[in-house]
Amino acid sequence: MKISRNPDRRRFLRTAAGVAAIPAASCTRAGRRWRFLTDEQADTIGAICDQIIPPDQDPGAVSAGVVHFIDRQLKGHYAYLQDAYIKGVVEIEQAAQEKFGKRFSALASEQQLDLLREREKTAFFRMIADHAMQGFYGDPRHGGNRDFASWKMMGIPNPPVRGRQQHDLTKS
Amino acid sequence: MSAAFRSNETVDFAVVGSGAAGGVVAKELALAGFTVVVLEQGPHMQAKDFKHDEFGVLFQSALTNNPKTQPVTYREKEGDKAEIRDAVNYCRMVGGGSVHFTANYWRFHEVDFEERSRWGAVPGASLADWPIRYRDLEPYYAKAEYDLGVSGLAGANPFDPPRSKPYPMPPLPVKSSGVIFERATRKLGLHPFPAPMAILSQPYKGRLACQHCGFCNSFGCEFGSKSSTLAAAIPAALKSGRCELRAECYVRKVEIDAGGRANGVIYFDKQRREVFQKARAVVLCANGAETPRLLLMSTSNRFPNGLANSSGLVGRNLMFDAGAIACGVFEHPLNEHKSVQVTRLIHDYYDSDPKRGFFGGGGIDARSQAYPVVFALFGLPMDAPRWGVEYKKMLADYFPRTMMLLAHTTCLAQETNSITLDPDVKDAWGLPAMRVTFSWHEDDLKTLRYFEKRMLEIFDAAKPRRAWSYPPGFDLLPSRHLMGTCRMGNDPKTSVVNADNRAHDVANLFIVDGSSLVTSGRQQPTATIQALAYRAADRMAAMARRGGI
Repeated sequence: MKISRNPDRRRFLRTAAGVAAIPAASCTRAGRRWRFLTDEQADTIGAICDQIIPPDQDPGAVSAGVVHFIDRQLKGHYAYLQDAYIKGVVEIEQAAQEKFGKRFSALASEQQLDLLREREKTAFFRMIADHAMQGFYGDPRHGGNRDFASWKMMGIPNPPVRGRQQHDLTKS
Repeated sequence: MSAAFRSNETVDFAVVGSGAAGGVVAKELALAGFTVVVLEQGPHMQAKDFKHDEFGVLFQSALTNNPKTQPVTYREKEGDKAEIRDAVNYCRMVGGGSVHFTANYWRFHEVDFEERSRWGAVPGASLADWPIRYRDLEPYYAKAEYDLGVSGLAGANPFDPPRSKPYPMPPLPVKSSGVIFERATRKLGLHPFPAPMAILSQPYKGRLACQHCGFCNSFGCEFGSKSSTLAAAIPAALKSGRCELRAECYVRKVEIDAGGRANGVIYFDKQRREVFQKARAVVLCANGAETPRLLLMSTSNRFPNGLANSSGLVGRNLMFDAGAIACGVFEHPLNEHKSVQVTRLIHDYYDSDPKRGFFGGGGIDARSQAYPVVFALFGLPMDAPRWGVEYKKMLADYFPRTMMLLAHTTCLAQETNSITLDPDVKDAWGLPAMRVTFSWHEDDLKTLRYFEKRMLEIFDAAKPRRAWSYPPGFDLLPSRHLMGTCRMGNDPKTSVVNADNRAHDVANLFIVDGSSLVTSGRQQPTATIQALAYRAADRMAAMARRGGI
């Protein structure tokens, strides 16, 4: 699976496991990574997003949590776009099979780009590109921009000055 | 202590809307000794509730009218079928637009009140003089600046109209964009000056000075340093003990008695129960789009075409925000994401000039370009890659180094541009949706193109790595400046309210907000809306003392 986990969560789980047995319920919970997507859909969406915002010296879309952002919005603000996502993923996976005989996420980067460039003007591509940006550059509270990845890249200080910290601005 | 009235208790004034105008009116009337109930559609949020959450604020309508529950329909011209489209955007909460505005606080100039006489008629437009002049409003501009807290430097703008007092506090510190702009405009012989902002540069009346967090435009201030009515007027209104604020109460009708006078308002409370609040007089401050909608919904046998609408002009002459954009990317980081959005501007091109060959003028300010998500989606030049490795590198390079020039320009009133009730679409309360009919006047678009050229000249003088502009007329909706729809005038046939903001048709109905404006100014209408609100509140109080309500 290409989608990396949140390192903080991993550390948290490891620590918890060392201290005491984790109740069965939280095991299941930790295992169910997505609110809406299946692992396969998340895999495809992650591979697309990592071409839209690729990792370089700074994190890319997937390691910044963009798939989590999209998954969360598909159960919330963008619930009305669930079908559009499912159909878009099915379509690009079919094309990947027909053209290259593999899952989209298993293709070489140039092959992925080939398929995406063909689809650059489609509603699906525009939607996923918009959402990737919203997740990557938006507030981490929505599941993306993990560890302020994009803000660090753009030189925005973290944490920003906030009203709710007005009694302790030394931490800004 | 905040007052609490029963709905069958007749209060002196029911004020609909608690924004730039409503907050001021409520405070002034309550402090003048009258009982006031304020009905506000949106929630009562506080500074601590505001977040630096661009996705929430700009993409999920955290503070603004939500198209999912209150759809707006739009069409370009009468006769077309309107489609659902986000054409009007307003801050839907206690404090209204004064909470999320950038806080540019320009007074209108003398010319804005008498442009029809000075310029003449403009074909296709309903350009008219105001029934009042700048000198009538001047004391109230000063009152607003001192009461609410506005920073600026009097005398710095050679084109400024006369003023009775300096600003109550000095301007905010200049930013990189302001320094670059000041140098470049001086080189061109222009006259840059510190931006007047409704943001505190110093502690004022127990409120905190600006902390330069960078989230003014579209956001609520987390420190209460932006001089919204939420921070600067409503607390005093509530403290008077004569004002009750009812948030999440959505007025659907102004009621009229047998004598044709307003006697209260019907609203849906938070649980969507209908309530009738009795009042001796009603004041509509619901903004330039919701006020005409409410009047048009307030039909009765006596007023079948909507309340206060004998002129047929309720909802007409809608004027929107007009702006042209140019951007420049510089060698060194400007870090424009910090502090207030605007620190320097020019009014050199404010007046219309017959030599240009069309009506229109404006001001140009220097500012930050956009918050990160909007920058990522729309901030780069039109020919830049939209995704991929190069795109990401370009964003990281451009974001800290980009600034924007924004021209704020005239929007001509046209009778065919309007707010009406959509015949088909309903909101979540079952009320007819707001239908916007709007297209730009040819001269508005020429003005935008003219200003695009002026801004690129300024960038030429500033010598960025690269400057670019967006084609003017390039989608200008939704608008947040909502003006002209209940215009002020002396003649009941050609206007909706008189020079005291009283409806011509209903003796105890007042309307004061963006809808009263006869002309758009050069945008930045908040100072004028608030000056009008202070003045109208004076007139209402005087009339009430004479037993006129």
